[in-house]
Amino acid sequence: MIKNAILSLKKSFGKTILLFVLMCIIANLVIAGLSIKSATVKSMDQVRLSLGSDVTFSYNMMSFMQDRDKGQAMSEVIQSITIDMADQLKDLDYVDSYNYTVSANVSSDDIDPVSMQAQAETSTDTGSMRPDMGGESSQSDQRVMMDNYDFSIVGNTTMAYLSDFTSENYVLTAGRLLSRDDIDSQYCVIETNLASDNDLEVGDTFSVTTTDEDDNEVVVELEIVGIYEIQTSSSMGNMMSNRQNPYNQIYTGLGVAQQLSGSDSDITSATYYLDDPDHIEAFKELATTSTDIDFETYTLDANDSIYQSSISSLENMENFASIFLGVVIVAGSAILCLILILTLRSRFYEFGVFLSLGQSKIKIVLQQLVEVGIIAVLAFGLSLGTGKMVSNVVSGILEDSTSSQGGVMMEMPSDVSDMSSFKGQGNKGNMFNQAMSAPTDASLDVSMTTETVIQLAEITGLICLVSVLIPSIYILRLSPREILVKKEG
Amino acid sequence: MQETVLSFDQVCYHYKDGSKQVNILKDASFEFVKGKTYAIVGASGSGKTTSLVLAGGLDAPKSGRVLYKGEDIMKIGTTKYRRNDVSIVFQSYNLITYMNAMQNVISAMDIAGIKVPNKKEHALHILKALGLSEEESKRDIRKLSGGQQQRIAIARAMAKDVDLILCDEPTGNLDQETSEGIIKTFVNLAHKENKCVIVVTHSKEFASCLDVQLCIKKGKLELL
Repeated sequence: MIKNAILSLKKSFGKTILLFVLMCIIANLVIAGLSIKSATVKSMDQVRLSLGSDVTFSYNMMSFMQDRDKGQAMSEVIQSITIDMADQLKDLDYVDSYNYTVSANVSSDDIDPVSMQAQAETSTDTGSMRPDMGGESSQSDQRVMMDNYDFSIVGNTTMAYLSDFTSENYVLTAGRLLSRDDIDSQYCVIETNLASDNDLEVGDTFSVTTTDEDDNEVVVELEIVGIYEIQTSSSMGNMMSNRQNPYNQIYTGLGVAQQLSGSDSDITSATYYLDDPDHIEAFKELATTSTDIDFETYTLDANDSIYQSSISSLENMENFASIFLGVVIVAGSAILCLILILTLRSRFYEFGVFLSLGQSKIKIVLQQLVEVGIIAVLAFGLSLGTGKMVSNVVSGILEDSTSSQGGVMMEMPSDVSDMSSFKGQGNKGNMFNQAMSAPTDASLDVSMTTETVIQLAEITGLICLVSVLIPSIYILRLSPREILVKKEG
Repeated sequence: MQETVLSFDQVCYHYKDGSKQVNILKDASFEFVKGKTYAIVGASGSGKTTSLVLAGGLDAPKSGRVLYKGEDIMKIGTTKYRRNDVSIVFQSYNLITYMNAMQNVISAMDIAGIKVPNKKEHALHILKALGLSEEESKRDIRKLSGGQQQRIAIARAMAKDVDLILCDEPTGNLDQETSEGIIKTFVNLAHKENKCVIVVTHSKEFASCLDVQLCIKKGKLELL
């Protein structure tokens, strides 16, 4: 059978070449579809991973904005998150680790903040930010004067998972970060500009001061155990005061921050690090069903809205790839089928001869399948080399066509940034930047994977099978006499 | 007593021509034995080729039975019967055009499951016995003459080494000399190799060279 198939292919060289070219085209298009499909899935995973598998438990600011009465102060309405609430969530399934955050605003007699004005002068050579130019810089001065606290204390259970550090947006330059062992210590980690402006080094101490609800002064002495450097800051443009300047942010253990905020039972937010990004929805569901937390008042935010908008173009591309693949498979099978029907008609006589010799119809069909299969294997081999090029071309066209949607997505950050500053932490803004940069900066990775090759083999096999079996139905219906009589006629 | 290879037992065959039924064979019965050559003669449309088609298992009778060594070929299975028990030589040779002579012969051996130590040599040997050189046996068959192609068809039938060989107008397209050579081959196959050779022909000259002459009269196989 294989011998006969090879002989037939050799003898009908023109038909073989035609089928080979057609199969090469089909295989290349299938590779392009598969590669783009797998690349979009990969990119979506990357986006998901870049956002991390963390879920933040915080006060529901959206609900607050809708429900509060006009003129009502935020402090009257906002209900703090208690450690008891946060502890209910930390023991749920899917939680690998967690971090509680407490924010407080402090001033200090020992150190000076990195002033926004000085920073503006050093950060730009243009005159737009100079005080003598009026305009924005004058407003900036007014803003600085509005706030009595120059520093922002951010107390954490551990700094090990803070996204600014894990994403290397903040890089440790001296000492160490704070761990769970430092939760009740007086240790702190400060920014390198703050350290250099005040001639501070690891091991130095300084005091910070705040006032409690009864206007009593609370003073805490902090010891520097680590100094970090900010590589880029997404929140520079939104600073209203010195304490909102990320350089003036001081990381401490949770205990110190609670002492300064005046409550040892309340926290600002809790972040839960899950074992898999895919479990975010399941975790949210579990939190709703198995805890007594009121999720009208509080919210679990996994940055899903950002994720959804950032992957929408990728989803469109994946949908296109699926449709493209379907069209290629159907059209490819149909064209191949038609060509085989036409060529099989000219081979009826040959089938009649084989049948008269006692060859079974199944074996005759199998021979056709072997013939098409041999061509498919050769086309498959060639396409493994050329498929990458086709994939690059098609993905390039798709990226160009979807780039306009990226522009729409980029309008999102201001809202998110505002929300994050409300929560007293700058992590969300950075996560957004990561999410946005992951899919938009990098082109689709359309390289062929083993999975793509296997899928190509399966699809090619399916196309061959369909395109041989359909015309074969006609062969199977004929009797050898009919075929030979047709020839004689 | 000579062994019966093929029997027609009350075989009927007809076809529809519009609303009219055309009867070809009607209760045709006959026994063909080993070691003899048979000629079926008759006018065009008398049912000669139909008889051969039914004997070769290429079609089924409307009623009655075609028996091979006493067993109904429908029970044997027509494909199996054609593969293992019968060889057919067609008027138009019916060779596979993308194969050369040798490959055509080997292909028939492969289908029949003939096991010989060297199929190539065996095929060349049969072809040589029928007057085809090795070079001709490996040449594109479309470049061979009608006589050579007919000899390839006969070689293919011989290669299967079956007891029953059916031939449809084997000399119809051939010249006198080639025809005589082919007649001689069939006679030798029957007399020397104990095969049963049934030939359908309109040539009375050819028929007279064979052992038994039959004709189809009113749908029945009768001795001339």
